[in-house]
Amino acid sequence: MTSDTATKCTVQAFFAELFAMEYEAAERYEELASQMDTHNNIAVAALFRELAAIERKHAVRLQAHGQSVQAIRPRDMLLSRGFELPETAPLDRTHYLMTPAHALALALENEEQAARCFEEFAISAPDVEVRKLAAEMAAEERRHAALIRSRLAKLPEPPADWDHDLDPPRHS
Amino acid sequence: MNLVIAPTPLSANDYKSDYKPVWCPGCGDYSVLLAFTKAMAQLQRPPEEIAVVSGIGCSSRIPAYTNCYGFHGVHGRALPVGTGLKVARPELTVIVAGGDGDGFSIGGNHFLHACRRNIDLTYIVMDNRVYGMTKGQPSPTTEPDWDSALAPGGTGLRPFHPLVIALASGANFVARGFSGDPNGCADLIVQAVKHPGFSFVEILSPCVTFRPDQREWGKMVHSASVNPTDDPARAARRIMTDDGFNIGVLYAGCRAPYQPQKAASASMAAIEAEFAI
Amino acid sequence: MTQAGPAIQSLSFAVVGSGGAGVMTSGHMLLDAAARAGLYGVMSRSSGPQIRGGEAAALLRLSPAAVESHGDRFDVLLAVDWQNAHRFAAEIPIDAHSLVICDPGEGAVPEVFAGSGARIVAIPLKAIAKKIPGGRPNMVALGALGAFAGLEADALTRAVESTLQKGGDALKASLTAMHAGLAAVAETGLSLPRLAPARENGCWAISGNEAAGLGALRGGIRFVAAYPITPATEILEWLSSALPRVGGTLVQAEDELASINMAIGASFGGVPSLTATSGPGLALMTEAIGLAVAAEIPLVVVDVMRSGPSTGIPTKSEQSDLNIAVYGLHGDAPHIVIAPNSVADCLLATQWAVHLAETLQVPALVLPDQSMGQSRVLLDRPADIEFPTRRFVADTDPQNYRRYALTPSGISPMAVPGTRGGVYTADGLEHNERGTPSSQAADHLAQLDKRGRKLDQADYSRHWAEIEGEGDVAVVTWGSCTAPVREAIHRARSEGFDVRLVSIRLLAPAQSARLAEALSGVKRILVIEQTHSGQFYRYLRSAYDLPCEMRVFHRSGPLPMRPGEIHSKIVKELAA
Repeated sequence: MTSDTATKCTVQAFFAELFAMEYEAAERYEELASQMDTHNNIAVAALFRELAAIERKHAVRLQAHGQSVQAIRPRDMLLSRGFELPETAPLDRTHYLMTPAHALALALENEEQAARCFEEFAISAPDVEVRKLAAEMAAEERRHAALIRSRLAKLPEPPADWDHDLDPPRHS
Repeated sequence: MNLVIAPTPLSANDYKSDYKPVWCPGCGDYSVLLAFTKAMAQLQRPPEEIAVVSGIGCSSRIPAYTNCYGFHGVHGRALPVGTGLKVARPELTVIVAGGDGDGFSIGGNHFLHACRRNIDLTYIVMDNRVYGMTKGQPSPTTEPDWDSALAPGGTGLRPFHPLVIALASGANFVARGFSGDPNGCADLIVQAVKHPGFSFVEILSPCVTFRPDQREWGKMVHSASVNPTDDPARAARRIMTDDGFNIGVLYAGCRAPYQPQKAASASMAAIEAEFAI
Repeated sequence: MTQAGPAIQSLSFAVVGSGGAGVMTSGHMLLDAAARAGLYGVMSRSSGPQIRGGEAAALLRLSPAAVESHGDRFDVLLAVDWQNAHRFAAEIPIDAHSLVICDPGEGAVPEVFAGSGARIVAIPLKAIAKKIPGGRPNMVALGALGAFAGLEADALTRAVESTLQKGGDALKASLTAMHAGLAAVAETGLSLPRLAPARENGCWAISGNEAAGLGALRGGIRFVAAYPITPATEILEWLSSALPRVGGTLVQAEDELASINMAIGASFGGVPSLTATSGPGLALMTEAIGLAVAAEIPLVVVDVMRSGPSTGIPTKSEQSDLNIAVYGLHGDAPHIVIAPNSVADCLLATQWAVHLAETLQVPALVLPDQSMGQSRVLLDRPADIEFPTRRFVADTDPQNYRRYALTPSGISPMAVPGTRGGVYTADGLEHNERGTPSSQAADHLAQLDKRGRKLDQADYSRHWAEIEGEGDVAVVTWGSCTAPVREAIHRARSEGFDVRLVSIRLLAPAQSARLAEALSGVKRILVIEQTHSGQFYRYLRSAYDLPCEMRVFHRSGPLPMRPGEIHSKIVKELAA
């Protein structure tokens, strides 16, 4: 952790970011569900919508601590990993023919990324309250990940030609 | 004493319409739309005071997906429409958007002159180096060896370099973004809108359907580790020698924007009197 | 003198010379002097293709009554020199009653003119000018022309003073030379029958292009996009200085594709907008004009027609853009086409076009031609015409706003950007009432019907055509053919032969019921137009159900239609 980050890492800031993280994760799953709807992939749309609902529940719980929706500026945020927040599903990892297994695999990646991020804070945040909170969050994310993993295990492996469209985009 | 209640600030979602985009899942343009809404939320301009003008192509579908006034015109002519609109209504925020084909092929001439005119608007090009809507032909920014049905084996032509052309033609602000980083793009758009004159933002925006090879772009982009310059020659050298994946503001100049004055100074009677003998 | 019965008393003058001879200036001053003398007149110009130094001809017709077009012949041909003047021979018909004034030092009269039998009058313009310090032959010519036109020295003097505003020695020399020209003619003892001026108050001198610009301003145009093209450039240049003075703006575009789209953008923004061009430019603009039809955006496009096809003859007139104006948009794209019928009418026609474009939210094309665009006429100050021009604009915070709502009139309120609650995306794609792109059959039909209905149900008032006279035969025409047709009909009437005139101003949409009414009782029609293929004749036959016999006289540019030839055709086709 940089000294700059350390200074900013108060409990209030951490809570605000937690809320933002869950809120954006929910929004993103909702967006992906909408994309799947438009492309007639009903099963995955339903799955993304379910994931969105779960994240929203998490966000509501955190909001009870007194946070509100702000314009999100992840650049300045402590929790940013890569280009976006750790639990936000990337917009370029979907496919109109993706299967529920693919969607769950994506969700699993997000949860594990979030867990790793919290584990870092649990060790290196200067504030003891933050470290405690981070450790709790890390454990929770690991639990979510386990749930997703077990669900994923029940699904069959996607077939090798899962993205084979009988009507390819080009007709000629 | 009356309590003044601060109005609720506009959120990114306030700039998004109810229309679901028809873009393929995985398309970079979803990120650009998100970046646009986040950028407008940062600027807090009421959506009805913003106009999004586009031409034809996948990216040009964007106006209807926003909650702003939109204009979806004909292929290649978005910049003149945006110019006429801005000159007639200078108080509006005018954003022109489109793809690499719309902007640099049929729209090429207007691109040159819009940069030259330096009118105060922001031009966002979602560059995926292909004609997506017509299902996969080379565009002016396509690599010379990219195989396609229309140009088997590749065009063999040197790709157009929009950032250099923009700079040479007089654009006042030149930036490159990557759709994989919607927040970074939002920042670039905010800066572009705030910067006076013609602001050009090229956003590398992979086409998941016809250019699956562009998946690699996420690994190739890197932050432009220099401060934006206001020296066009220095910026030109930088841009001409970069690898095409340098992300950030690359030029921020200080040319005064073009805006014809609109103050009435004569009556119709006075003008008509000039015909009298 | 050209005299046809009890009317059209006029004198026609042609002045020719090579570049640098100042022929246009003399012609301009002669017209100015005629104005001051209480006469009316028209002046056209013809020149070689050179940018500088080419041969030039100024063609004038002066009359006590308002006159818009040239007659059948010229009373006077004055040549400052004969350089390439034979090129103008077809445009300057002279005969044994004409006078050819020329400088003996400039060589023999070319056979094409000498062969007419006209009387040759030698006046040494150059030698006279040389005797005056700073004197120029074209000023001597002005005096000579003025003498033959019967203009008083005073009117000529004021004309010269008004043109040479810098004054000083140049002015003095010019006036002296002008007087010398007057004196030279007096010495010959020759004169022409005098025109008796009837007008007491002042008048305007205006070209068709300027009149179109003024009509645009009066109509409320406040944004113009400009790309120069012969013969429309003067509209844009005039507007470039006039428009900002009334709070408008003009942008010079990089090409016609830019200019038409800029005008559309500004109009979408709520500002009445216009551009002007000629045939080749209109061809480029058709795609965007179709966009304005589909997205229902008000727009005015002036096409100053020139000889076509393709680059054609840029400096010469023709009526052959009718087809592209009426039919040139792809798809079913109803729109307005208005044709002024004279220089003066360019004002009304353009102002009316603005009114219709704004009211009906549609493109309106205005079709003057080069002959009216670049001719200058003397006329009484045009009356103010009040059109209740009003764009139907959406209120602030409309509830459940639908830009393309299916209203009974077909006109739906247009939200101006900046209006809260009125957000919509204008689209060339077919759309539903909200403006959302739609490929549904019901939506396409509904919107096509809407766009057709709003034009079909509009009130085009009495301006749709000029209808004059009685009789069971009629001449149907449009644009610049109207004036010579009117003159020809006048001649026929004085011979005891009644002919109706219908000059159509609203070319599209076709006004079937009204034309049927205008032609009720008519058994035979003669159509007159300036095209090679008879575009107007074919259009009438396809768009109108006319129960009478139809004949046509059509000829391409570059030569103007003359009253005499039309009169012959009227007698031949309609009198039998």
